[in-house]
Amino acid sequence: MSTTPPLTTGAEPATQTPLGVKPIFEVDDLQVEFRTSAGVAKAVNHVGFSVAPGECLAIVGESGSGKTATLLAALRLLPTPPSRTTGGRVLVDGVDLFSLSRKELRDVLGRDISMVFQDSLSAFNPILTIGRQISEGVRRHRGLSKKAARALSIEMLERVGVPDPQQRVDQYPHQLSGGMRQRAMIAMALAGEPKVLIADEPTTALDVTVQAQILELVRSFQDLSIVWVSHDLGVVAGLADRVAVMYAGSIIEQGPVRDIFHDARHPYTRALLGSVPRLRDPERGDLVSIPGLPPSLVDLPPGCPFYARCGVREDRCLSRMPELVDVAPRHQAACFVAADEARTA
Amino acid sequence: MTDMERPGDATDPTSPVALAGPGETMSGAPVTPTFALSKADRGGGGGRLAFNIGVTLVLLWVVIAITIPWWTPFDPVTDQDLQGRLAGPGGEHWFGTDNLGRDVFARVMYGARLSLPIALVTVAVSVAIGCLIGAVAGFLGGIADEVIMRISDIVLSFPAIVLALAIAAALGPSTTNVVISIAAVTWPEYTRLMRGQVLSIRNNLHVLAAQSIGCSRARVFRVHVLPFGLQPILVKATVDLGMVILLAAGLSFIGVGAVPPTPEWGAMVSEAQSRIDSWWLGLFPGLAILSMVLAFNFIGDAMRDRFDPQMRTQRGKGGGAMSRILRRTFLGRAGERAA
Repeated sequence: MSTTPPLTTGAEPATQTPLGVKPIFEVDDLQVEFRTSAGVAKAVNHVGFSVAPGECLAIVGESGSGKTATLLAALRLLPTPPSRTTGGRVLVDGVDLFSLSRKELRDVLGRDISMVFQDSLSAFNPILTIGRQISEGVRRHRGLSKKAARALSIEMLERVGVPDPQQRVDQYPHQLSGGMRQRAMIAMALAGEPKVLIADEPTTALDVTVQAQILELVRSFQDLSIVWVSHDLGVVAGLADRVAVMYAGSIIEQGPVRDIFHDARHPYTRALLGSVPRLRDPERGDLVSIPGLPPSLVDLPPGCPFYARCGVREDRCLSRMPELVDVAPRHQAACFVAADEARTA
Repeated sequence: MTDMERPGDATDPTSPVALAGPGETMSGAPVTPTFALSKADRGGGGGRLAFNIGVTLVLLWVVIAITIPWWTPFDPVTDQDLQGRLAGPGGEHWFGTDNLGRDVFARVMYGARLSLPIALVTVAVSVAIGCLIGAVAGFLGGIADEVIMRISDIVLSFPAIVLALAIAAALGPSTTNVVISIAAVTWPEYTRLMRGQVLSIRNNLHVLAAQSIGCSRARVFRVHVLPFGLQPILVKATVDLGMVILLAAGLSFIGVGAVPPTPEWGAMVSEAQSRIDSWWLGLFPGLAILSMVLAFNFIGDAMRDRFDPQMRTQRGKGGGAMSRILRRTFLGRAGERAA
């Protein structure tokens, strides 16, 4: 974290992790389209990021900005059709997921990388016990017997702090509370001891106290690399090492969590932070929102997607999409204005 | 469910709505108790009764089919009494005798030994083929889906009885061929149903979750997709048991089904045509068909009401479950639509 990479333009995603550390999970130039009746929606546009071992990367953005689509497409879980992954590369520990056969992919999923979903009630099969589902993937990976799988399920439930795991293991998803179920979901994702965990807004459906417990739990897995998708900036500030901000299917800024929260360069990130309500702020009684709407993904403008809502826009922003350029050490933004400021500073 | 939770109790003065004050809710809008349902709308009632009648009738027929040799002295084929032919109901022959002096009661009851297995085997074959093909189409998608669905469209575009008749006629009259021909025309309905189910379940979150931890495709399909598609199949299969009995009887009536001395209901009605004076020849096998078809319809409809609340009959619009089933049995699909 101490080395300063040279100030370059259009930096490769691989250079964003601390130098000398090989990223464990790398998404490179990912492009995803959805065929809709209105036309082809470009949901993910040249998205790239990487995560170092033990690091937690948060991806933030508003609904429909492509966070979930990016991750589902990266794990090849996105239903095709209507979606289509038109380009890119996804490396998990050096293995390109897009070059694997379906069978080889199943071997990697759950063992090297796995995913936690937002809605734990619908993410569990309602007609199978929690225990069977937790060890389901591992049974195939390691060829465990039924008995060994059950023991593993109990152990996993214990590790994620579900009380009375001996009993819970034989219960059905609806018999658990929301927080308990989310813990079980995490147990299921971690049962194969993956190196990377992708968490798609896992605390959004939970109340604040349970959310805090889940965050505490996730923080306790220190060797795990985490990609945490959220629109809750408060959660992100407390959890992430680095933050990537998505807008209209592109990453428009990424950097260390401190930089993003205290020294944001992209006008969208600034506006996003400005709209977080603060309790003790006498001058701001009303909720602040960003005027305008994100552009339609079916009809993306050739220039910067934030142009229409931007406070510092210039004519050159209309001609082409600005690339991610370094604006500070390990901190990049996709904005011409921010890039100029960084150069002159 | 406690009494407080019932939607019908919304007009109860102690309900939360009433607590907001007379004529106003929290937002000040006037209260219109649109969700106060009449007693008939709460479900149960007619559906439960229909289900019980259906189950009783089917069980009765099953018991009869199994035990009939012990409680009728007559053999349905070999016991011919030419002296006492075409005798009316009464005395020794409860349902009378036919033109060869055979006991009509024995023949009708023995007919259940034919109709029930035909219905069960046909529906089983049809469900197995239809579901498998439909599930494959839904799960694989693409060209396989397109080809399968167009073929099933072709089969569906014929009226079932006409196509079944053609197939049965081509194969020659026999009970086995009845099963084959009816299964050959009924599988596409299961294919459509199953495909739709698989398509909607395939993208459920729990299927994605199972994939994300590395479950094999076969396991995802078998454990996480298939069981969720079977409910409507089960309902349709039950109703179809009745429909198949009717179709099989129809084929035998026309003469491409069961071969003569066999005591088959459709064939018996057919024979009775030419002796309209001897009303008992056609009436009793006809009633047997009716009771069986009605029974399976009752069960199937009650099951649909139970499993699929969205399809529940809109009560108060042309009566309840009973009248709907009766209408469908006697008037066919047109009767159902007209309501």
